[in-house]
Amino acid sequence: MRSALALGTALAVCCIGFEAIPAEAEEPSAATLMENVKRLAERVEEMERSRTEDQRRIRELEEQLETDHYADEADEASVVEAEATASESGTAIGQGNLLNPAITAFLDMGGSWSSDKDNKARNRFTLREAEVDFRAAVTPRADGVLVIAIGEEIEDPFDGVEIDFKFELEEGYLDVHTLPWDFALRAGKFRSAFGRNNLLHTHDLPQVTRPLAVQAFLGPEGLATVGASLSWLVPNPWDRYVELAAQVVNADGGSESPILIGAGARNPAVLSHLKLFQDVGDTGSLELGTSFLYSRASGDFDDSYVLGADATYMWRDPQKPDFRSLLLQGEFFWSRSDFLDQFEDIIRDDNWGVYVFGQYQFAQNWYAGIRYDYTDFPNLEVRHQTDSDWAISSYVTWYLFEALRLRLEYQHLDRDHVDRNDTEDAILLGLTFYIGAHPPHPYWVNR
Amino acid sequence: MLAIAVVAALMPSFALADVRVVTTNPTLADLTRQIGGDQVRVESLMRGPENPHNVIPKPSFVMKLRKADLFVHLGLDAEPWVPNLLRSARQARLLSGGSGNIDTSTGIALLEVPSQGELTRALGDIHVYGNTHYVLDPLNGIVIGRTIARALTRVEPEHASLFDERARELERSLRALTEKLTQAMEPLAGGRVVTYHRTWPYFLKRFKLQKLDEVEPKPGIAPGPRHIAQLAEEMERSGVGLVIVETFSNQRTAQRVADLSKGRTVLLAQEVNAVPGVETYQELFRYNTEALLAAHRELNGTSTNPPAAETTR
Repeated sequence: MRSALALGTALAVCCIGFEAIPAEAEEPSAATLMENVKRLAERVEEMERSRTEDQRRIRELEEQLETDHYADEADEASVVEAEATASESGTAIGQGNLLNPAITAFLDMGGSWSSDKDNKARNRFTLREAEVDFRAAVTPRADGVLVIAIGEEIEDPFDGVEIDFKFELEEGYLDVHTLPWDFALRAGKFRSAFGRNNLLHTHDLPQVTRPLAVQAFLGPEGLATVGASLSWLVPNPWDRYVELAAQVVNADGGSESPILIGAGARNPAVLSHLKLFQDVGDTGSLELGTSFLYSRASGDFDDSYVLGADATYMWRDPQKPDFRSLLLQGEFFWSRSDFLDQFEDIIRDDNWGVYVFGQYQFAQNWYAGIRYDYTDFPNLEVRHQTDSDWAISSYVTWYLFEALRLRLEYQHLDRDHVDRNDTEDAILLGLTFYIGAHPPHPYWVNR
Repeated sequence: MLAIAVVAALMPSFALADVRVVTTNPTLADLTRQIGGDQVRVESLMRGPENPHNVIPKPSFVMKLRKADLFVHLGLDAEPWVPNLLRSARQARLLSGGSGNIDTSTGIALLEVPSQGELTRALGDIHVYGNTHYVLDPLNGIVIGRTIARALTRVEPEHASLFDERARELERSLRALTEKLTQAMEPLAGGRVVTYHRTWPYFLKRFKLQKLDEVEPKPGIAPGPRHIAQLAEEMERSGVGLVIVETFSNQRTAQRVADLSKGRTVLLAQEVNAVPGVETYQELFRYNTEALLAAHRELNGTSTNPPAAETTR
């Protein structure tokens, strides 16, 4: 429409131009005429140019209008959304809740059927743990994390069974995740960065039980105590992921840890972890780590330390990444502790432990695995120096839904203790689910 | 250690002039490449065939993010692995709300936005803001292209006109393509299809297709034998023969549905690089429409059932 108008105007201008020429020139010579025609031609050319320009501009505007229409649709949608949110959060309570932390609640249940009829913790159902995980940003660069757990404790399972529910602050810390020069800082109570398995909460474990070596060296539920942690992504010329963590934690907090001194510790313990990560091929990856935990002399205890090494290999089928995967992981522990026996003689005790497992995903929601365990016992208060355990377990894990998991495990355990030398065969069951926000977990843990 | 730090500081790769962009998926990587041209270096974290919801955020992703000027992602709750990854990357500019954090859902009109009462996992893995597969409408690519152009302009203002011109060029290309493909899809227009996952509402709407049902009874939940049988029956009754399946869904289950209903499955690219030969955003739509048309023709030729498009028109 507009282009037609422009064309009309151009024609009218041309006509006026033609009429004007004879009036101006009384005796038009051939040369003047030629000059006039030339000027006219130029003018027409110019008008054509401007017309093309106009048309281009109109086309652009039309396109703009159409896209604006999409943008308008989007804007309208967001306005409607904003209005809806505003009207529904009109009350003071509503406004407060909008800033509530992400909340996830986990329940971890189990059961066992065992050849060991004397252990009262076996051959029964257990409600291992109920856990609530709160997390939210405290500042743009820091998150607050609070994990509260109620766990079942079976005291003295070989005498009369006594079941307690223990309420525990599993973790509670400030996580300053983004600091200059690739640093991160953590303060509060958190799971210590010793190896890989120790970082996992019970509901994230790849098998029903925690590896025997982790239980023996770091505590039945691993090591988590109050302190501070500084971690650094180490710049390196090979451009590889190298992370160094240094932690100073209370040595009296890990009351169940055989390495930390427990109540009465005069010095904090020091822990460090070095982690290297490398992609292998298109869909594989390898992670290697070393850990070191050092606890200074205090009371009857002399210095003691644990060294750890861990390796994790992960692979996903490049064609079917959600259907086939392989996970191999192993950890090695070695400890040395010196302490005084009842005759005031220094006893040196070296111990080691290891676990390795392989897990294969054979369908979208199915995993099968096998784990081998061997461990000594660094805690001489409850174990003899020569005591050791080994075990082999095989298991199948089925995710009925993303938030609901079933696990069936067979475990053969061989105890070689001074006061007990026997084997135990057990079938273990695990049922775990979560409700609420999608929970975070280490990259190598399934879902 | 100090020596390593010094070597690292002197490394030339830290001082390159290009804008470094990391995207969550290959589709956003291609769109960024089309806008950024030679002025950008783009890398995608995810591979094409993967399920965007289930990506494993490996520590090597952190290394890619450390050097990125811009991090381009789908936003909403499309990629639940992103927030934790960003926390691990330790780069303030890439955090949510930071200058380098580019959310491409800005300005997109979302489909399937749940009303507040519907937000429960009883409905499967639903997305709380609406369907997140908005890149599958070619015209949404225009809006995404503009978002990316704006972001690139912030980092490299001297190339503003170049990015702007390329965003316009992308727009022209996508408009022409959409028009051409909509015409090509005319034989299927108004017809009904079954999709495996809830990936395709934007695509179906743009190309005038309708969804009869989904193979998954609820998003993210695998179908049982009864659901499959009922679905096949429903398909036969309604004369629907096409089952659209993504690369991350269970092809065998989709095939079973197709076999039972005497229909056929069509593997479509839900992402650039999801299937071989789909290397650009435009190729994705060309491939998908051609695959649908081919399946439709085949169904027409071999099946005694009238295909969906014919019965509904």
